[in-house]
Amino acid sequence: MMKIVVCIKQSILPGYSYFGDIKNDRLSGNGLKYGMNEFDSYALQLAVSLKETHNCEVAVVSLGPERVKEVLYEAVALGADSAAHVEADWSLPTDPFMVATALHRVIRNLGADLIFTGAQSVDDNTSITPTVLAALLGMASVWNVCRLESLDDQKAVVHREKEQGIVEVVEIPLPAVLAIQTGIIPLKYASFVKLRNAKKRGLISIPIDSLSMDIESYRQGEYTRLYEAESTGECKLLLGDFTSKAKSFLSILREEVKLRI
Amino acid sequence: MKELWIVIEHAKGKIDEVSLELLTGARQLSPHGASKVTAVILGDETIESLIELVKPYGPHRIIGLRNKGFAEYSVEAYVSGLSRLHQKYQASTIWAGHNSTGLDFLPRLAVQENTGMISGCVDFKIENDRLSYTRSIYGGKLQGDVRSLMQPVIVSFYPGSFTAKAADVNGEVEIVREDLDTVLPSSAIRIRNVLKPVSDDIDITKKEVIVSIGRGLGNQENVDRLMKPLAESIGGIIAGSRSAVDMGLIPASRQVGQSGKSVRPRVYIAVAISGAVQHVAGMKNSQTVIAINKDPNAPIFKYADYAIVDDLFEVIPKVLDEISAIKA
Repeated sequence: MMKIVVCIKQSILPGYSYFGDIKNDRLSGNGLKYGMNEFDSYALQLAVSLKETHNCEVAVVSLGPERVKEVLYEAVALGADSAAHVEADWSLPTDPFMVATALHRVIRNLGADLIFTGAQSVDDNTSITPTVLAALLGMASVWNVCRLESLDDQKAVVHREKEQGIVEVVEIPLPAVLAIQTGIIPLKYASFVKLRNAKKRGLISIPIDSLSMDIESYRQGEYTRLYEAESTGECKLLLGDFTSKAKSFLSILREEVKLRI
Repeated sequence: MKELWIVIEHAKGKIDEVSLELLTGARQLSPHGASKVTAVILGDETIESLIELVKPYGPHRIIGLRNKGFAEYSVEAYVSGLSRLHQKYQASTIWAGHNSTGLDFLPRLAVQENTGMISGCVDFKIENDRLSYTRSIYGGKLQGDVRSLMQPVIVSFYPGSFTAKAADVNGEVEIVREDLDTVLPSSAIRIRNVLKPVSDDIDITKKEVIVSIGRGLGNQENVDRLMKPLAESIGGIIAGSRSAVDMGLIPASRQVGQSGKSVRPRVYIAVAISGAVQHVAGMKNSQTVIAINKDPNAPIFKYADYAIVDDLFEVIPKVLDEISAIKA
């Protein structure tokens, strides 16, 4: 039976305003909204969809404090066969080398044929955790997979999204790490009943200390400053009611951009 | 003097723009006397022409590492070649592009050299003679300055972080040619085919007026009801973000951003687009940018000339009403 491990991050959801939350160049974490990293949702649901066509089982793993259990329950509700929670509490933003090293320790003895991750996280946006993990595991990897064309016991054929709309068709031997791009499969949502059942089934808990690593010693970079992004130029705010804004908008198009309307 | 290396990306005899941008950005370090900038080119017998292409961008030194195995890019060959060069010349910092190639070999080089990597940078700063790197995080809403705790420091920069420009003064460039007389490790993966972008009836890179839509449009009905009439009435074309493609609102050929197209229209109207760094990379050179978004903190406003902070479902119908009034 083929074994697929999916690494899932509980990310800070986009759309939230962080500005009141920066203390000593770290996010305090208070009041932040979390959810399954969008890229990881695609990785998970691609893995689960393979159960319909291949003889395989899907295990998921996530690292972080107590709150990350939520995304693991969600993963089980969406069809994962088992879920492991590596209990770790570290300051935000996290470090990709800390995460990849811990994941490596958890995954290396599982006999996984395939490891799926999201290509990046919507919050920290480093995009390197999957490739660092692959290097530590001594596996081949493809980053930014936008299609899984075929899969057998020996190899996968995937589409790798490059820049400017170019796509490579790549054959990769197993075991391998595939970092998944968004849009690879239509997403489903977990039903309330399935979520409730997932919570009843429970999780495998792995204390970070049991991985015999001094996790902080794997931190490779430190944030010296965290701040609101700076503007590249002057942005003029169009004011007034909806009609005035619409009029201003059109006058810019007609008078400044010189469009014929 | 510290050694800053820039790994030059090339294919079919051409240098990737991001490498020229990084060489240009690195020149800002020279007045501080902080770094000796070395362009590192891994290539086959065609390497001489690549060296000539790099020279005008003002590195202090160019190292050309020759091997037949570098004719085509492969991650194993690049990590092996760079690792050997590092053993001999000891880079203190290595820069390359934050793109599909850089994100392939840089993390593996970092693991090989037992060091770390700062990825997805958009700028650097020098404070007290120490370099820190600026990352765009949390969907572009925050920036963070990061300092490496490891040596060598491996860094990837988004394309477009600097503007490529040849140096005004051509200083002396030291050229070092090395032959790597070993068989490079073979590639684990095999590229079977390269698919060119799906051609659409319209090439968005050639359009002067772009109405670009994001996740906030919600569904196709809203696009048909609001955005298509707007685009048609101002002579524009609909494009959009990665999210719009994933939601099926636009075909992939209309995606603006790093994995889509880079556009420079006369006017770029961003509707319900938050403005993550990958999207901004494809539109920030537009002449005029008008952004409509109900989130006042949306990063897209940092790149906009004009902002409407409001719900598109309230504003766009009024715009369409006004256009009807003008045309009547």
